[in-house]
Amino acid sequence: MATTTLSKDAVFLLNAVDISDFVDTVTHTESADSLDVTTYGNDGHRKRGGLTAGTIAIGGVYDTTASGPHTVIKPLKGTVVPFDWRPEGTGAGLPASTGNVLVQNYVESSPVADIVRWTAALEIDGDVTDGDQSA
Amino acid sequence: MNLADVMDDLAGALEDIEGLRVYPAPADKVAVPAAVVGWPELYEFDSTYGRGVDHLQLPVFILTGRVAERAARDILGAYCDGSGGKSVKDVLEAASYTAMASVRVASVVFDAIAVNSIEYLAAAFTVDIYGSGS
Repeated sequence: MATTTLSKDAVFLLNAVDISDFVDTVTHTESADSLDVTTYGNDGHRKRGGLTAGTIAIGGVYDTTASGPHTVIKPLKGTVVPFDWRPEGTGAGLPASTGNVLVQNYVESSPVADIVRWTAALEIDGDVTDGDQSA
Repeated sequence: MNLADVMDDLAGALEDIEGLRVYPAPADKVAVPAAVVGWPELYEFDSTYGRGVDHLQLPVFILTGRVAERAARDILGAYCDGSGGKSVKDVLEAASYTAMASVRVASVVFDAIAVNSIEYLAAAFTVDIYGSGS
């Protein structure tokens, strides 16, 4: 039987700051270039992987305090900073993906009958290291 | 958020409305015109990761007169105004709170509500609240 995991325990750090309290969604996508290496004698296309790439889309609830996303994330746009994504939360042996990201954009939205929300688009710079958290 | 503190904070803000008797929780008896802070109709945990934010919606009832009294309509109307000293929306949204981060009076509906077998004309305001999950 599959073992599911609730998202409520997930942890996300950006530039070494834990912003989890203001985050309600993280979409972490990793991909590789698809290179066509088809030669004569093949009936189907032949492929190999090329350079890797990735994006992380995050978003959540706006906060007015000094540790909120407006203060922490907005100043980072256009810069490359470290990230740490822990989908199962913080704890020894739990998985974590770490690396660097370019903060490509930061968006705030304010529907009149709802709370202020924010989103940010992060582009992975270089390699992502996947491993288990230490004690 | 601590629910009792939330309800007390709202009651504290409603005390600023002149002439209104405020009850920070549902009461067995009321003296009208009365404001009664009701139990949450919605209490959602985990609006963000790490128990950062919780969300709840609760009613605030303004009770006045008996349903048969025509004057009750005029009295109740003042509390439903969009602004002014008796406006529930204005008073609750302008107040400062320690128990929660944001308060919005989202809507109001009208009904007859019985308290201790006595029927009152009532305006039921839905109050939307966000606050810390801890």
